[in-house]
Amino acid sequence: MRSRVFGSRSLALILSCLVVVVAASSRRSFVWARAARQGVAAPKIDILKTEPFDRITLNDGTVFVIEPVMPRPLPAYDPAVEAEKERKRKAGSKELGLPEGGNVGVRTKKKAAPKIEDEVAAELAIHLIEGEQRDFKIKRADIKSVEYFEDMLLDEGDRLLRAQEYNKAFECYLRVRTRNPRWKGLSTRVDEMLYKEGTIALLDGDGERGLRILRELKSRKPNYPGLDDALAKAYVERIDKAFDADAYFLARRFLHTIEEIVPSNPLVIAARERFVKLARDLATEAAKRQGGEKLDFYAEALRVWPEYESAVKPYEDAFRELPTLDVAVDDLPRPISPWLRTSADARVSRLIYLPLLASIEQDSLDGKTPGQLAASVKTGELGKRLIIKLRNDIKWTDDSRVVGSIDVARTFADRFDPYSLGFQARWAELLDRIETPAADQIEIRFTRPTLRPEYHLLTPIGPAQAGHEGWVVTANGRIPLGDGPYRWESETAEVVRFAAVGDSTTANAPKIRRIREAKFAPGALVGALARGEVSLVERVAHADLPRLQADSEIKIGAYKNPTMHWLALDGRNPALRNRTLRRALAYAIDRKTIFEETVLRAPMDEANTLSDGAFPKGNYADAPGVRPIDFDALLAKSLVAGARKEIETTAIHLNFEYPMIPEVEAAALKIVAAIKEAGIDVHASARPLSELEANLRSGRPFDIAYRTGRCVDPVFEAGPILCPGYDAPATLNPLASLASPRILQMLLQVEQLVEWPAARELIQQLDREVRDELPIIPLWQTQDHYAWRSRLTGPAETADNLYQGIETWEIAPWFARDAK
Amino acid sequence: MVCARRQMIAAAKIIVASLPLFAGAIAIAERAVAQSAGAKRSQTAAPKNQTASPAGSASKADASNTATGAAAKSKKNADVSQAAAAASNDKAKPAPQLPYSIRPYRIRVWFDFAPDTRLDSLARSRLIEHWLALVRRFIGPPWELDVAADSGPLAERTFDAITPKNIADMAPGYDKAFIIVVARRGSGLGFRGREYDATTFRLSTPKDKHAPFIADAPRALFDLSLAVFEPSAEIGESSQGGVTITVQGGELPVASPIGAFVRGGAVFRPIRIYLKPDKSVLQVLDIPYSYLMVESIDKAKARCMIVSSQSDPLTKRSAKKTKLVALGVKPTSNPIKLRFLTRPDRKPAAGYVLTATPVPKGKTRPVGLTDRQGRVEFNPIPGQGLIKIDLMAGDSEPLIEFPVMPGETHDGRPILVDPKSQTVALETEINALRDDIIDQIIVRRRIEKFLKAREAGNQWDEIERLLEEFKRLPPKSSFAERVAKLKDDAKKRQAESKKPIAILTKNAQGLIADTEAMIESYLIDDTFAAYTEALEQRKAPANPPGRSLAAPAAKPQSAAPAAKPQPARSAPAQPQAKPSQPKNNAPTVAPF
Repeated sequence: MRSRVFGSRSLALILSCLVVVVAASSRRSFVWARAARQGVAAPKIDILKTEPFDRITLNDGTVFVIEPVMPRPLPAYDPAVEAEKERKRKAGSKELGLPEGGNVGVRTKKKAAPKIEDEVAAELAIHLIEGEQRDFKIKRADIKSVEYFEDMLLDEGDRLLRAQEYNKAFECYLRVRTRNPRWKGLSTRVDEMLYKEGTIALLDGDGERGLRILRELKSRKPNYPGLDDALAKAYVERIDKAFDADAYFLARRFLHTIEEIVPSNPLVIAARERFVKLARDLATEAAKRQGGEKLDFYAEALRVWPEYESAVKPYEDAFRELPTLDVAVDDLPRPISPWLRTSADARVSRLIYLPLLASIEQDSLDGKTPGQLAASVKTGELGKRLIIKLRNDIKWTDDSRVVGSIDVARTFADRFDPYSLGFQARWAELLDRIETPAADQIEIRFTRPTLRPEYHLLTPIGPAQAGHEGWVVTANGRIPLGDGPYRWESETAEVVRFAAVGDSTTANAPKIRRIREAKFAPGALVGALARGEVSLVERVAHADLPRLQADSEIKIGAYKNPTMHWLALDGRNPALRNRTLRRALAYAIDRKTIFEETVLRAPMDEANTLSDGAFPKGNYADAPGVRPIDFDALLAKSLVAGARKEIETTAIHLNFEYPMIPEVEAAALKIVAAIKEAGIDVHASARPLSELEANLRSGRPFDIAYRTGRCVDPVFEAGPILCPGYDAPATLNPLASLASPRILQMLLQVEQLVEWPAARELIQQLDREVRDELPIIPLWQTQDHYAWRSRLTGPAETADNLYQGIETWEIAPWFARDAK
Repeated sequence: MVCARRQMIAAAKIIVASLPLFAGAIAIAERAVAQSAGAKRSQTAAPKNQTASPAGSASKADASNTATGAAAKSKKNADVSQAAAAASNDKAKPAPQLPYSIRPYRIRVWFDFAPDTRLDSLARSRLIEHWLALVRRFIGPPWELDVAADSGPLAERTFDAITPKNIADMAPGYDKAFIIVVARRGSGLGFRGREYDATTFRLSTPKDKHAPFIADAPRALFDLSLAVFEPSAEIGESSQGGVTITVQGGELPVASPIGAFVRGGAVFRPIRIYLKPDKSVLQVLDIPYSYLMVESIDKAKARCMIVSSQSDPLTKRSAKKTKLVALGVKPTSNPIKLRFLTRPDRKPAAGYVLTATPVPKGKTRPVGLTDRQGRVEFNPIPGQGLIKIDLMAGDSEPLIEFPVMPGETHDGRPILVDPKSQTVALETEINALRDDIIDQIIVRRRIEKFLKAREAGNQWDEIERLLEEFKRLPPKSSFAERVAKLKDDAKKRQAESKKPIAILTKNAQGLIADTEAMIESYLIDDTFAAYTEALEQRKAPANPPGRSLAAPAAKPQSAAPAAKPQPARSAPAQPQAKPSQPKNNAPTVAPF
């Protein structure tokens, strides 16, 4: 009895001392807590950066900031319940007859205590954040409330969520999850955050992000209230936008995605119905039409909704009646004419114009080659005279008359007229007169003997009655009248249509009855082929080759002649006339790195390699042993500084123009950066390919221009390669644009030669001297590719031009279906 | 007595000195009388002109060739004759042969007024009167003008179709003739005229003047006459690179400085007259591409600089009797048109740059590029006089050099040039070599700077790496060998050529010499050798006690004085002075 009393008294004393000690030592905490009670603003803390802490409030209002308690959260404590438990526990121990404190040395076999409920600790050990004495124990009964750090984070997260600072709110929740993934309220808050953030993103127009977030919420909590509607609404908006832009493939992709998520949402169902209705309407309209229009409408219906089965058979039937080839191109010729000024002109002219001579081979000269107007070509007077006899069986596509000598005479006369679009300075200097002794015979006399005069006959011939731009007024309006296998049908800013001449039963008539060339945005050609919108693509970027090669339904062909890339320089700018500056430009460009990293995205190979001059490797004009100029940025800078002194200027400003082809654009910007690094101020501007080339060939001034082109016969093509305005009228002094007088003199000497060996020798010498004189900055050569879908048969694996042999091509009906 | 004698002598001197004036005055008076008589005669001669004009109208496309036009013409002629009644004469009486230096110019003047001038007879006569008054006021005795009653050669021919023979037949006894047409131009009048010189049978290039207002017409006409007039001179002896000429009428007092027809900088064209044994003229030939530029003038004697593409244009070495005369020439704003063909194949010299340099000195500028036909046309700078033309092959090799007076057409004959293909090819190779040398200089300079910086930081491992980089560079000897090879090959080709050709022209030799000097001056290995030695010494094993490293000797010096980057213009091996230096003279290597 006495020991129990002692024990009780001792315990009470100890506890009271403890309380005193706690009270004395935690003055600082009291200060803070008092401050809190008094309503003074506590110092603001960044909950995300601070060390974790809890806040404990006692019954008397005292608040302690303590290190996080364990366990978390503390189990619930009811003093009455705990007292009862204590009483039971004590009762259990009395039955056992054991002294409370136990008897030292007495080993008594304990009897099993009677089972009592789990005991909650009556005291809690805390560790204050601040203060000299920090470790204390507090009775659970004295604790009014505990504010856990996780809850503080959640509250802060809520605040940030209300302020739409989703990133920081997410961080708060993430911190809670890191500490305790199952903390009460966390999951709900995260869901709410995702929902709010997703919907706000959609409202702000960031549909991509909004949908991604909502999809994430959907995966977490499929039944989140309002989520389905939000997703459906967001997707349908995107569907509508793509639909209105005629991007049906994209719109359907959105539709299929949302259908997987919320298939029965009314908005989604309505969106689907929109597709079906449009397809139905188009098919209905198609049924009323004939010929090409019928096919176009059915094709459009299936393009809108490939699953519209009712249109499939009619489409296939219409297609078989009028096989149509859709081609994706970088650029369209403007205008279509018999004059070849750009690569687009060269590509299209073969469809609607026949050349006078298909090649300078003997078979062509004898008229044995198909696809040309000449039945025979004879030379006389040591090359000063050409006598051409025309075939009598080729008519203009309007069936007005047979192609005759007056047409040829008109074309050649236009090339002599400096005001004509077809003017060629070389021809004008060479031509003496043209005579047409008969309707099918022409005699051309030159002012002097010339090397291979037949070369000048490899030109399309236009009608004599054409206007200034080569178009003819007919009953159906103005058209570019031709005599080729196809005729021009119509054109818009983005599409040009050609139709085969004659009907399909005519012998040797092209099997492909219609061709539609569509201009796509730079970089979108391959996508159009992959989606099936087109069957043939003019050019495939090197980086896209692996992707297409992996597709079994796509075939790839290569152009026989490599494409040369170079920078043209205008010597009419006194700065570019300076040799030191041109050398500086050559040294400034790290061609190898730019070529491999930006253009090829692969190491160089034999076909795709750096060039040492204007002519492709392996060509007869490519002089062996020419060492291209290496990259040396420091040397370039020094040379630029030297050039500035020579030109007597403090700064050099140049314009840099480049065509809008993705690979070229990327490389051009790197080249511009390199030139700027060397100390030259450069202003870059992009132009459509055909527009740039046509402008340059007209002889207009420029500074630096990125040019591409193929060189088959350098003796005849070196001039326009090295000097863009080589054949332009003399009004703008285009020959002066060649920055090196020496190279210009050599080019003009080549024109005067009449013997092939001498011309070949001189052109090789020119190739050697181009390296040092730098009238151009050679870049690289590439082997370009075209690609087609397997439903098109006929294109060869290698070709000189895109439409080579098109008369024998065939195409099967096909339309792209959505992948299941 | 003595005083009287002196007075008599003085009076005699005055009389003698005044004789030319009296003679001139007498001539003028005589002419005035004759013209007034001629005026009456010309009125009766009008019908003759009227009938004559249709016969001669083949060459005249003018509407005045029609019957109506001819009538208008005869009326016009009558008006002119009225206006010139006081001063005109059909045919000048032969004037007494005065000394050349005091001989005035007897000038026949023909006017042709186009119908669109809308000047009646009175207005025309007033115009001519005012013009004559200006001539008298500003020029005075040197000009004896004789305004014709009719339009002379213009009656049957257009202005541009007139030939010297047409005028010679109509102006015997005159030194010169002015042919002036007047037409409407805007709200004023346009005057177009040219001069015929009887001594040389030359017709000058047309000159134009514009009077924006009718009231300005006399002054514009006077300006035209000044522009059209070309003084004549006799060429004297050549000496010290120049020649003295005697200008006709040079000692006659000019009424005003405005009328002075020879000043410093004036240009004459020398002409050689071949004479028959009886001293009549056999042939008159221009001395091509040659001019005389007045340096100083003393009354009628003018000291001239000879500007010519020929070595001895005024040579007197001729089998026939010759006489050298000079005719003043003035620039016009007409474009200069030239055509060049290559020798010997006479192919167009296409793509060659034409440069022009004002004579005697000025800045050379490119003025054109020959086209595919070898032609080039350029407009002279307004007011610019004689220029020296160079046709350049490649970057710097002149093919031909000759003086040209703006406005002259040189008969349109092509100029043959030697294209110097081998020389140009050689120079192209030398330029390429010079590019490599410049690159080497820059790279070496860069390595030197790095070496200095590394030395300052005592980073000898980096110095070793840089010296390794230097060793990989082509040695100086390789460039010297390349230059020597080019030179030797050119000499060999020159020697072996069947026809004598000069591959190593002055320009080419200068370029080679300049390149050699560049190699000697800039590709110096001393600095690198010093660093190499220093590096080796550092690497050598430690010396035994008592011996010290020859640190001072091994210390790398900073760039040797010879390596100072000065332009090669001061290089030691500069060849003999050549007027046109190679364009790539010195590597303007920028410090980096």
